[in-house]
Amino acid sequence: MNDDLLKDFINESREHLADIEADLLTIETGGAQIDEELVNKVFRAAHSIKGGSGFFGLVKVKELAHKAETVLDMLRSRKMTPNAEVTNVLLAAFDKLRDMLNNATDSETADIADLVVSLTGLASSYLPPDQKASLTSQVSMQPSEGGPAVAVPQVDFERARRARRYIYSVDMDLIHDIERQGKNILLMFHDLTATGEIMDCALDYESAGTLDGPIGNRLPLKLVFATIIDPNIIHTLFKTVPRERIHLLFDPSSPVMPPSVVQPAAVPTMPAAQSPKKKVASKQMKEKKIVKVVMPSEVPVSPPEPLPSPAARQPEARPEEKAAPQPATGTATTAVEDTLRVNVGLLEALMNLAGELVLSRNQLRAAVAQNNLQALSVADQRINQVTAELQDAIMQTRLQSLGNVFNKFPRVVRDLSQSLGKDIQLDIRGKDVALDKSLIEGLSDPLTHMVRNAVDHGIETPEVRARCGKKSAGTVRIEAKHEAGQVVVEIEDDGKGIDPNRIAESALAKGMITAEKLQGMSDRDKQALIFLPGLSTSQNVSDISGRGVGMDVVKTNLDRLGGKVEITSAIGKGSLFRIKLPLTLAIIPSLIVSVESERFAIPQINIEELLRLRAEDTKNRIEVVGGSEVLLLRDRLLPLVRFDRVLGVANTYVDPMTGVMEIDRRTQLADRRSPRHPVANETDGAGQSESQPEQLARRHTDGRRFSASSAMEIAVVSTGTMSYGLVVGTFHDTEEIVVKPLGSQLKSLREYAGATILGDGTVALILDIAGLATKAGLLSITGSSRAMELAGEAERDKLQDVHALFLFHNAADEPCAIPLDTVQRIERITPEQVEEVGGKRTMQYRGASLPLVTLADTAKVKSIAEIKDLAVIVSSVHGREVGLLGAMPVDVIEAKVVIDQVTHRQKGIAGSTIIRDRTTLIADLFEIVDAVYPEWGKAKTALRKMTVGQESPTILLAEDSDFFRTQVKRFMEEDGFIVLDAPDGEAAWELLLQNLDKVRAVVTDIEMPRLTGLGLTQRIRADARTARLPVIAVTSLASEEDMANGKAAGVNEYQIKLDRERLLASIHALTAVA
Amino acid sequence: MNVDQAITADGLLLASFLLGEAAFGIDAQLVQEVVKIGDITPVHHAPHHVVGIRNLRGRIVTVIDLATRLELGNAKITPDSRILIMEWKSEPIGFLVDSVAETITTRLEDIAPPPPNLGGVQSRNLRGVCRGGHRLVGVLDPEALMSIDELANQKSTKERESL
Repeated sequence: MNDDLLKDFINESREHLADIEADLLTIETGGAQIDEELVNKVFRAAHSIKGGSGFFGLVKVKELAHKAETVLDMLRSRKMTPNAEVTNVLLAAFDKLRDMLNNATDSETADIADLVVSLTGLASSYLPPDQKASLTSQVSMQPSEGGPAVAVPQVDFERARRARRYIYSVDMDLIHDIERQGKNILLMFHDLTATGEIMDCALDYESAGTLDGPIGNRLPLKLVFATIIDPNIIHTLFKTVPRERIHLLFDPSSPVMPPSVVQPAAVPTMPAAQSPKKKVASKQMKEKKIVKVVMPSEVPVSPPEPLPSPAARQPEARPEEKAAPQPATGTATTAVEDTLRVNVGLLEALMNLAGELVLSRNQLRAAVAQNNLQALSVADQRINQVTAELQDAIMQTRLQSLGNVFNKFPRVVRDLSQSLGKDIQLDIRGKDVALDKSLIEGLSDPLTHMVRNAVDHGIETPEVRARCGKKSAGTVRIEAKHEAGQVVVEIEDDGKGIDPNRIAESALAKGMITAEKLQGMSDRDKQALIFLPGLSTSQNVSDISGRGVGMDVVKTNLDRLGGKVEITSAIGKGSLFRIKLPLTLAIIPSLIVSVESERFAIPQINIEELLRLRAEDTKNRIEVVGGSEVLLLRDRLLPLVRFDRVLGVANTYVDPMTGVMEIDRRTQLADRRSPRHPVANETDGAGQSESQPEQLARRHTDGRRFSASSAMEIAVVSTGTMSYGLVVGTFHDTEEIVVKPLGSQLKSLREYAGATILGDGTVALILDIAGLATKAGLLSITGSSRAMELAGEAERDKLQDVHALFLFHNAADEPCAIPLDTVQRIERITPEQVEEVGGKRTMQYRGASLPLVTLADTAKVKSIAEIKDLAVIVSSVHGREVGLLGAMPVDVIEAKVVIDQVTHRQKGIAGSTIIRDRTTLIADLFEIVDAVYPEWGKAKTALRKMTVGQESPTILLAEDSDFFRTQVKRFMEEDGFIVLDAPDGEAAWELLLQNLDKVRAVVTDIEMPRLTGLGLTQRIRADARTARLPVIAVTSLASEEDMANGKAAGVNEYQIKLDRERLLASIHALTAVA
Repeated sequence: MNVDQAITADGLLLASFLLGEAAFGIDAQLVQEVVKIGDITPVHHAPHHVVGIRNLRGRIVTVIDLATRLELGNAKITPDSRILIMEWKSEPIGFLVDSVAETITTRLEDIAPPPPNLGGVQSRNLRGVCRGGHRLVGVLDPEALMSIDELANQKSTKERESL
């Protein structure tokens, strides 16, 4: 069999199959409102596959296509309504067809029994009982002029009869009638399917002869063809076939020939449906006979008729295929695409440009031959321009629309949502956004995974959605759009969102991160943890997703493509994944950098900014934390990667005595492939070897290379989810470079994305920023856990502690909070109970007058005057009871929050935090009271001075959280202690050493940077000067284990941070003892 | 060159070259061209036997130090050093050799199995030995030579050095 023909057939069938999914889904959505055009389209696809596969002897393909065709015909004639079941079976059948065609040679071994049964069952269940038999029974027809009878399936016959078609049997010889006439069998099939329907076709392989026997010169093909073309002109369709080999089997206009219905296998039929082997044998025998009958006539082939030849008619015969060249269709399948469809106009533009290029080359040669500088410059300009245009045009041929990937999602979402019992609407936009072919291919898997995730994990079941008050159908939106030179693909669902804490718990439980790291992470950071390998939060692992493989692979794939992914998610509202992609991969703008004398390219898309640190700045901008360097860039802390160290490029220096560049052996061993290695420096051209001294000379004058503390050039690079500083030698120009892949020997090196050839012909490696980060030991998750660790250590004062807060409202819509420990009681009152006497508010409370204050007394907030439902928060300040007026409702929460002590800071307001998505002001009752009743504080100090009569005891307070330190310090001072405070254990220790004679007790937090509370305690106990000093450890939540550890370290007492009464009592007790 | 006449049904044309003192040969049909060393860009972290990459008329060629690959020490660059450019699985690969010698016509049956006392790496990569002029030539097996598994086994010593 002709392999090229088979290939053509398969390619064409793939094209037919490519759109079928979408069409079937549309048909299903349409329900009873059948779009006949669409059904016809699918029907034709099945039909032409059936026809072609018969010719190529793909029996099973033919059978399956035939069964699918039967069902489609019933849809078309409205005997059947498309529903989910019908669509499922049809989709499965076409999937199978695609599989079989992709692997045509093995298609005979495919198992299609189930599908055939379902399709037949489907068809028969919709047929009236009396017609059911027609599915399996055959109709036998006698040629009008005698000869052997021909049988076709009854359904097909009925269809032809309804359409008032003539049925012919045609005996043709592929060698004499087709090939020797310069015809193409596939084109003939196109013609036939355009004018009618091939009901059956069979090839007699045996008559082709075997290699051993004499060469057979006949390849008989028998066709059963139904068409409306009447017998008088039918021969024009088969111009090369002698008329006597075209037999009329059935004439719809004559009622005479009543076809006899026979049961299957009763008559030797052509199609081999149930038992291929037997059938083929019988068919071949029969056909041999036919051929024998016909051939003796040996009528010379009829001369060509003045009708358009099939070849000439071909364009009109398949207009829809020709008209719109679709960019490669097979991407919907997993089959790898090795052909590419290119717009004809574009191809012509390319041809023109190639012509231009040849002309320009001729100009150039002429100019060189004449040594004419001016002509040379003209040629140069021209070649420059043509090359640029050529590049553009070629890039365009690589561009493909994202529709190729998107088109498979309706099916994915439909199948998934059905199996999960979810109701999901899919909204796809921006199908025509084009991307480079390689990007499209690389994007397919990650996007599919994310869409599946959205359906599986994102969208809830209709019941759950109803309970949450959402509409029962969930929406998944997939949208592609252009944004500032990049393509953005968004996948959004309105499902349950990603719960950062669940992700964090899961990561913690699996030991992927430590609890300490977790504390410093924002919700966004936590959500980004889903990109960690092996993390899954799905309670029950399904076969769809939730195995914990996936998102890390998605991330890796996108990293490789140079894409960035961002997550935005709100619990209960949905998630949005935003992928940013470069337009093309093959040619990318890049920054050329050099380290020592080696040049590298960094893709521009990875570069955030470039900076140069002067020698005097390096000290305060770069810090070493835990053996790693961190760059302080504005408010960010970025891990710093020394490129030369990661790559192991030998450090060189210029010997001041000899002026010769030498490898600096103090830092590492010389690398034999460093630029000093003879291999790399040996050149075959004289010009090149001259460049070496030049380079040396430049280096020699380049003073800053001499010392280690000279200026640093740092490229701040980003992989999309993490950023770091890359210390390079020197920045050069930005160039558009052509990416060339590395050989298979070097494919495993993740730090390079490829190589490129620079203007001077040398090769430079292109850096893979993500791979390089991995190589440098930076983990590729948001902010990188390493950076997080470093940043966390440096920013411990922002550490999230558990705060117990009493929530109330100031005005109606102004949430406020006050530390719970300052609250003694709550009273609900009405506005009438508030008395204003002498400009001060009071109320009657337990037989006395309780002074009242409001936030508005000191801070610029809304007035509370209008509020009807008031709450009085009774608290004690300077030993006196005072009430803070607030509005209902009130609540108490215990949460890990970060308290911002800057943004909303004003008199009476200590700071703000976010509670339940609302900015909440933290009231500072102390300040308010001090402002309204300034005399209270003074009176108390005076009073204490009198009663104690001696200096107040000094307490050392070590606490890293600003908020707690301020609070605890305040109430201790209020109680008459002098407080020395330190933000960490180390500072506390120094402070203690300076004030050895004064400090009477130490109150310390446990978790602190630099030196923990336990470490501090151990140090205190170890030093003879302080060994007997009472130490009280305070903590947010104390577990028994913590307490045991504390006791072991020498802590006297354990107290909860803001349990002020107990803490003070404890301090009093211990200082009294001391 | 009378390549076509030289290759009879069971004949083989070998391109021979020297690595140090030892002579090796490889199927001449695989060798596309022989070039001078040129400008080689080192690839850090690459397997030890990869010298670097080189531009050959717009294509990126991975240059392999054949001596290192066969564990015969490192190639020394001399004016005689050459790179044999080969196309393997539609990818250009260059073999760095100390010098190129003559082509040898041999017959398949004249290739004797490698001597049993030959070390592991070399015996794995040799199809056998044959006589070429006055010396013995090791006939390299390109399939084994280019197999990635084998290459993966050769630990990147480069990384070790730089650490």
